[in-house]
Amino acid sequence: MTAWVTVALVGALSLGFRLLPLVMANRLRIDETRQRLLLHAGVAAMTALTVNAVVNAARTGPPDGIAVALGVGAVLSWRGVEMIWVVLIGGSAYGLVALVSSLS
Amino acid sequence: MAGRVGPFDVGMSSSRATTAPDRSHPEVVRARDEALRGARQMAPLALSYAPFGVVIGAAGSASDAPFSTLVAGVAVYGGSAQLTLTQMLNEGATLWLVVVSAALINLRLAVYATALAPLWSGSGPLVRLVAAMSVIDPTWSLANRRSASVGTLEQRRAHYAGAAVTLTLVWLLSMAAGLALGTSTELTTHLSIALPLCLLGLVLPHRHRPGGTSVLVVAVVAAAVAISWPAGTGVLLAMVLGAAVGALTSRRGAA
Repeated sequence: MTAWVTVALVGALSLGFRLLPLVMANRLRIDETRQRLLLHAGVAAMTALTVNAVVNAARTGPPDGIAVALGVGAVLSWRGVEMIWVVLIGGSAYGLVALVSSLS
Repeated sequence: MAGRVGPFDVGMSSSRATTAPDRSHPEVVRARDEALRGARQMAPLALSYAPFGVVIGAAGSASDAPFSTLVAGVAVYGGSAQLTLTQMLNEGATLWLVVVSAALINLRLAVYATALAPLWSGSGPLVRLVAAMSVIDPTWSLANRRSASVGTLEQRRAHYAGAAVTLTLVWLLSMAAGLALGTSTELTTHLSIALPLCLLGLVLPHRHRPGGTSVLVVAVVAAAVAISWPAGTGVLLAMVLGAAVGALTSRRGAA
């Protein structure tokens, strides 16, 4: 029961966050400066989520494997490689290190 | 100030959004083709997120109401918030703490939706409702990328719709797979690496924009400082500081 109530409440709040700006779309005046500000804020939020995701992954997975995967992923992303390759190659590097760690 | 065209370029000014269709231009295509194009462009992003969906599904299988995971997949439509919600519930946290934490994490969606508002200006309430339900990191990023190229408002909307449907389908299927797998397999533990890799792929291209690198650095520092704070507060702090630093550096760049 608690799970359903929580999902309903978080779902309603999340929809509210998304819907309110769209409902007010005709009234909102968003020039390029404001768009840039929103862009920076959004990317900063995603960056914070990245840090949280790294910490979460490090709680359960092998730290060396995570470090290698993130290093590879960061280099590839930095060079503008598509996300699917970042995940596939970074994930493979993680798998390889995890395999070697478990064998040794 | 004209930064290079990349996944996070804005270019969604009202003048551009209402440009009349240029039939002679090869990029001007019908709405259906545009939706298919959106779906094609979203496919690799959605597949990248699939392992994360499996992780959430697997975490949900340990809860009292596993089916609520799939409902949350549509209702919450945000992996980080949903994973936090599921983990906190499994750990026995109080309802209000879970709700506030997950809501704080999803507060960023208000920023994305505000940035996307010009795209839905003038559309009907039902269209806005459906569009709002799918505003999330990958759809926002792809909409930004699409807005950097030529096209009418209708074509951009069709592109968004194709992308959103593709992401939703892959997201729900991957969560269903996670529910079926359950937590018994070690595979789901290792799949957790997919989320930071996906996010790296989304955030690092931002360095090309004026002030982008400063925003990324500040956000990392803010998240690291707030790591032991209640869930979601770090995201909020990073968002506020990121916007402030971005505004400051952009202004300096312009001066």
